[in-house]
Parts: sequence; C-alpha cells; structure tokens
Amino acid sequence: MTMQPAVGSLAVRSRSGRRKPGALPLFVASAAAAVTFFAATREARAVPSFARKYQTGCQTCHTVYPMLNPFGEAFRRNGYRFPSRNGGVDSDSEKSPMLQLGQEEYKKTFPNSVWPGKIPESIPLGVMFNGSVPVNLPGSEAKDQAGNTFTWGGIAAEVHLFGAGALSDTLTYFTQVTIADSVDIETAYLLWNDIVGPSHAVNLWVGRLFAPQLTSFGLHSSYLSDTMMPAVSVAGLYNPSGTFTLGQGHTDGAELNGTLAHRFDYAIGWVASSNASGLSMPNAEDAYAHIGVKIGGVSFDGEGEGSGTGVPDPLKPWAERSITFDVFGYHGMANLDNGTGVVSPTMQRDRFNALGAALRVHFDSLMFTAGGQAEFHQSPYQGSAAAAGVAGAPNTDSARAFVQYDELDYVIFPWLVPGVRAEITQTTVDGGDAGTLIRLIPGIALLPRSNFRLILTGDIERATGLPTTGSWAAAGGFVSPPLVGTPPSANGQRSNFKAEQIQLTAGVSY
Amino acid sequence: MSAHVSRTIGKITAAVAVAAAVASIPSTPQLAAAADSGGTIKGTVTAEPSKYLPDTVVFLKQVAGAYKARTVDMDQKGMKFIPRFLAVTSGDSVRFLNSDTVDHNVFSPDIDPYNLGMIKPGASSMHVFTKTGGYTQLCSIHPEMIAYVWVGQNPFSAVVDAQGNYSIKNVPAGTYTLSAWNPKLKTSDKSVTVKAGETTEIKVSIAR
Repeated sequence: MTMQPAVGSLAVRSRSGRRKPGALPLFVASAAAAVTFFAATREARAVPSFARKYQTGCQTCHTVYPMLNPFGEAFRRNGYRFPSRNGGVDSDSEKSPMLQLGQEEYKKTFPNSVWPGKIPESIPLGVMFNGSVPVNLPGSEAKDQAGNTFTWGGIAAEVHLFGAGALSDTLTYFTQVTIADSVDIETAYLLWNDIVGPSHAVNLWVGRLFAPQLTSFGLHSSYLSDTMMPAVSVAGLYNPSGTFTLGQGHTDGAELNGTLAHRFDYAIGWVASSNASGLSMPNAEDAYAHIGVKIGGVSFDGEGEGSGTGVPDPLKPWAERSITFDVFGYHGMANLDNGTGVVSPTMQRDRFNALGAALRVHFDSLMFTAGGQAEFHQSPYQGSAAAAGVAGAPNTDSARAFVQYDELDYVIFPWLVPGVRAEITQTTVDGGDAGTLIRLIPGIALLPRSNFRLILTGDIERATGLPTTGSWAAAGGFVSPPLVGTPPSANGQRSNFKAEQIQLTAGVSY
Repeated sequence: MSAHVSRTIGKITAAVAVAAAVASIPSTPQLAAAADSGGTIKGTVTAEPSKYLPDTVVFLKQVAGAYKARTVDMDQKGMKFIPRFLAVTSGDSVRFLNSDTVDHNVFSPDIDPYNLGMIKPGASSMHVFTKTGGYTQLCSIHPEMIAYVWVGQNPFSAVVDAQGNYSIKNVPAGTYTLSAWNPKLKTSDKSVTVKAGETTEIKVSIAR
C-alpha cells in the first residue's frame, strides 16, 4: 500500500519520504515546539494537602516524590485513604482539625437528614512549583532545533494548586489546577470508594481523572520520567493533529476499579475520546480495562494478614521483595484533521486499539520496571491537500506502533536514587517504511529536603527512519537518521547513538 | 481544672472530684452507705486511635441496688453541648438547657429515640432515660453539635479525663464486670473484685 503525501502544518514529508525543499525550517520549528511542549509538561506531584490532613511527612508515601513507596501506592489505590488497621476507617488516621458539616451519627437518621460530611478547618490546599532547564549538547539535533545550548526559560514553568481530601470515610476528592502559560483544571474528580462488597472491592471514580489506570501503579510512578508509561503519542507520529497519548492524563470520564483479596486489582473505564483542535467533540467512545496481580511485598491495599501490611524494614519503607504484573486493553477513537481542507481542518475518524502489559520487580532497594504496548490505528494519516481545481484525497491506510520501556532504579538513600531508563518506539506503516527511536535516559533523583526535589537526566538517542510527521518529537525524541540516497531518503538509515540533552528538573511543594 | 461537687443526704456527705467536663456521680443513700465499706476502682484507658479517647466511659455492668433518680444538666452554649459526655443512671433525667442566643434542638437516634423539639434561648427541656446504653445527642439545627449521654444500670461509672484516667469510688465490696463504652471503639469486659477500703487498679484498652 502506498503512502499518500502528508500535508499539514507540521507535515514535511513527501510520498517518497524526502523532505520538501524549504520545509526544514518549518520542520525544525514544529519539532522544537513539540519538544518544548513535552519538556514543559514534565510534572511531578506530591500533595501537601495529604501531609496536612494526616500531619505526616512526604516520606510516609514517597521516596523522591512523586514516586510512591508501597504504602503510598496503597494509599492512592484506596482512593487517597490510609490502609485500614484493625477494621478502622480513614478518619481514624486524620489529625488535622475537621469541621463537621454533620456529625457521623446523622447516618442513622438518613434519609430524614442530609448524609453527613466534613471539611478541614484550614483549606486543604497545596502548592507546587516545577521547572526545568535543559542543556542542549553541542552537535546535537536538540541544539539545532532549539537554537540554543542553554536557557533559563523553563525554570519557572508551572505552578500547581492542589486540593485534596475526604468528604467522608468513603467519599474523597482530588483537584489540581495548573498555572503555566494558561490556567487549566488538570484533575478534578470524586472518588466513591467501597460502594459494595468488601473494602476496596468496588470503587467509582468520576470526573477529570489523572489518567486511565492501565497498570497497578500511579501515573507518575517513575524516578526519571514524568510518567511510568512513556508519553509517546503514536497518533502524533502519524498525524500532526493527533494528540492522543496512551495512558496519559488528563482524562474526563468514569472508572470502576478495585482491589480483590488484597493481591488483585482491576480498572474498567469509559472516558472522553480525543479531538483535534477545530473539530467538534466526538462521542465518548474510549474504553479500557486492566487487571493486575502482586506477589509478595505490601499488598495492593496495604491490608490483609501478615507481611501484606508493611515492608520488612521500617527504616526502608520503599524496600520489599515483590513482583507485580499487569495487562490491559484500550479501545479509542480520535477525530483527526485529514489534511484535505484548504483552511479549516477536515475530520477523519481514527479508531484504534491497544494491548499492553507491565511488570515491576522489587528486590529490596532495587526496582525494575518494564512494559510495552502495541497500538493499532485504523486510519491515522493525513491525506493530500486540496489544490486549485483538485479536491483533496484522504488517506485511509492503517498503521501500527509498539512502544516499550524499561527502568532500573536503586534507592541508595531515601534522598538519592540513581537509575537508567530506556524507551523504544517502533512504527510500522502498512506497505511502507518502518522507523525506530531508542532513547536511553540515565539519571539521578535527589531529595535535598523532604519537599524539594531535583532530577538530573540525560537523553541519548538513536533513530532509524522518521515518522510521517518528519520528527520523533511526539515520542520525545530529537534525533533523525542521516539523509542518504538520490533523492535523499530519511528512512532505512540508522543514526549513531547521540547524546542530545541533559535536563535538570526541580520541584518545591508546600 | 476540676469541679468539686458535694451533696448532703441525711447525715452522710459524699464528695466526688471529677474533671470539669465530666458529670458528677452523686451519692445516693445506698451509695453513701457503701462509702464506709466500699472500695475504689481506678486506672487508665488507652485508645487506638487515641483521638477518640475523651469520649469514653468506664462502668460496672451490674451492681445490685435501688438508685434514687436525679436530674443532671446538659447545656448548649457557644454552639456546643456542655459537658460533651454525661454519665447517668437509668431513671435519671437530663435537663437540656439553652444558654445560647439562638434556638437549639436536642434529639437522639439511639436505643430509645427521642426529639425534644425546639428549645428557645433561656429555655430548657427534660428527658428521662430509662433504657441503658450510649445516646448520641444531636441538634438538628446545628448538625456539627454532638454530645453523648451514657445511661448505666447503676451509678458506678466514670468518664475518663483527657489522659484517660478514671476513678469509680464507693463501690460496694464484691466481684463485678468492668467495661467501657465509646461511640467508635470497643473493649473486652474484665472481672474486678473490690474490697472494702481498698483501691483496685484496672487498665482498659479500647480499639476498633
């Protein structure tokens, strides 16, 4: 099957894969913009609202935040509630003064009275500043695209305002407003926990979720990357208007989830479909499911008999011996710009399916995480643009991609965690060229103070071929293979491993 | 701070010193008579979680005798029930006062539910407790207000102080079952033998 020319604001490749004359500046600009976007959205979360509520330090739940320790993961999974001890409830652990909007005993008089609730006497607000400064190494394509080696431009990238807490022992909430170039409600959802059956078995979370839960771990469960699953927009590799990124936030919808027998967890979600700018919002067609199992270590909910409730060494709350395995499936739909319009975007509906798995192994202070997902897109490409007297032609070719990641971390001290991460993205075009991007990310996570973290990472890349958008930016990459042949082609060649960038990310929360 | 309450009944005077927020245990003829031959049970209650500790009463389950009914006050002042925890005996009355400048209500959904209706500022309303157990006191107008009334079979009970200490005095010599009640936590019964003129120490723990 032959590729149709991709035409769009960011599309720079012709049918043969050659770069169009004069397209390089646009390519560089768009790639830099995309890279800036992905770099700027590197976020981290530790929520001082919870520290205030329970009058406890960050290290109760985190190592180098936002990385959660096993207790913190149990807290998150339980709907931001402390694991129960001896049949207790979350408010048993609550230490900050609460204003009762109705004493708990009003449950006895329901429905003749309002179901009781409570709010903290002080506003449950947390604030976090995040920023990062990249150094684009000499000779790198990152430097070529950015036009500089170093800039302070990202040091104050964003401010997060958190509001999180509990309305009752079963109803909790989490909200997050991010102030960057714009103000966004990034997360705002209610968590109705323990709806029926045993504790934690059936929970319903509704609103703007952090992300679809496709694994047993939180969105930010990585020391070196903002998210555990790579922020690779496969749709964005094929079509510059594609924004869908599997497993990333923030997603409007509802999720039914729970923990069964302390060692199994699941999530079933129905969330909004994605939409290219300028197109009408599609019906919510996206749905997903995940199941996970954990052997050894702290149980998923931090409850149960024996070792499930705690780590072996209280001085090392991150260290346990366990294996966690997850599988998931995702069906989605996206409205894309098919590129055939002259001015306005023209809709092309791309349905896609994804299958994936994840593995995490803890061996005391050593942690290994691996995962991968295959995405099958029905019609992600842009077609040919309309020209004078000639109608544009959509492209209905399908495409596939495989994204894989591995991360190895070792907690030397609770404030010092070196690690290395690899992200591999492979695109497979029907009847056309394939491409591969390999990113190696060595780094170190530091916690000079409990609420102040620094993460230093490098970015070493190698690429074979280029996506149809002409850039690996949607996979977080800078590098492109050398152009060879007559006419020059970007595909079929392989670049050497190149050190592209060093980045320092800082965060302060209070 | 402690309050000192004394009451003269006939020729015998009994005195009980308790924490300010704790209801007094007045003497009755039987109780006062027991003072000569009675003993004391005291100790400390530990609670997990400890924040629920103040809402705890320690009591003897069954002590034979006839106990004269009395009237005890519980006020509503500053949008709070004062005291927060009151221990009375079955047959006693509690007079609910309103020392605030706003209307209040008193009702309880527990055991033998009642609703005393609107209580105007400066007014009061009475309720006689005839069934034993713990009663939550709520104000339907101000849902944040809460208090507890513990109704025992006998007057041998004591609300703990802030440190969890309790003391039950003038207990007739004999062997009894000691227990505790807390609206959120539970405990196991303990057997206690009281000897005249002696003090018996019993530690009590309450938890989920």
